Amino acid sequence: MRSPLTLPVPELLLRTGVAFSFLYPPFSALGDPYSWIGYFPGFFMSLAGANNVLMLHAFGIVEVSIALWILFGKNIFIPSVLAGVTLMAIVLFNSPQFLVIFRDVSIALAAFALAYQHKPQTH
Amino acid sequence: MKYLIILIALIALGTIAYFALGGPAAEPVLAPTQEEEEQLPVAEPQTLSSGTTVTYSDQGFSPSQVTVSVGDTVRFVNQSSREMWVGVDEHPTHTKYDGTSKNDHCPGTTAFDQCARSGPGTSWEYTFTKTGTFGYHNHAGAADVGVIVVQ
Repeated sequence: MRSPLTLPVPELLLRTGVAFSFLYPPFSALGDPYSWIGYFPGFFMSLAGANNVLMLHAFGIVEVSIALWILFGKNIFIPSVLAGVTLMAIVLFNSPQFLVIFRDVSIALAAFALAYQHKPQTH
Repeated sequence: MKYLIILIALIALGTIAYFALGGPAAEPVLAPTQEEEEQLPVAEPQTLSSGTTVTYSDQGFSPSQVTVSVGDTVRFVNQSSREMWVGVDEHPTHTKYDGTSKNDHCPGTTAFDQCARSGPGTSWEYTFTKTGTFGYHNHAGAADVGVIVVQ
């Protein structure tokens, strides 16, 4: 774990931006879960059945974990790829709502930029 | 490596643009003829004399677009395995009917918003009181969308 304040400003901004997009939804979902459940793919909802709110909060824990890893981690290739793929999946599974979620594409590309910056070195 | 990343990004954006701008061919507007209405199985939802029925299944809303007149009632029947919460676009604020957001007009009956979840086997009705084209979605599954045209 490293303090984010020791990072170069551009990387700090990138990390904070991506992490914020994963920190806001799980906390917002505590008060208004159905505004967020709606973004899950239908087959997820069918699988979860009556436990859909529980599934949402479980996913929220994953989101917080990714955010904190990106914010405080030293090697953040894995969480950055996870973040980018998750955001792209949200966009693809909710394409009819593209007017609302188009920003996720930008955040996903920022996450991929972080991943590229921290890609494992081959010797 | 750089060109590969740019290529992947372009493919991803192209895919998104395809779904966002066009996507799969929309389901045609159903305007059943007298003959088609007579052939409908009894158990299937059908156009009622007092209004129009839209069925919600695991595949989404059907028909995906209906045209009604001012004063008509549309019934949304949940035949899916999931919960249904019909709400006017955009998700999640539901402002496109009368300008008020979900937090302002729920619970209530003024806006085109179910304002609550309903499980499989249930239905919800709404009577349209003004003209316009109103996109809607399932608030509990925002990828499922439809359009009501009120003339």
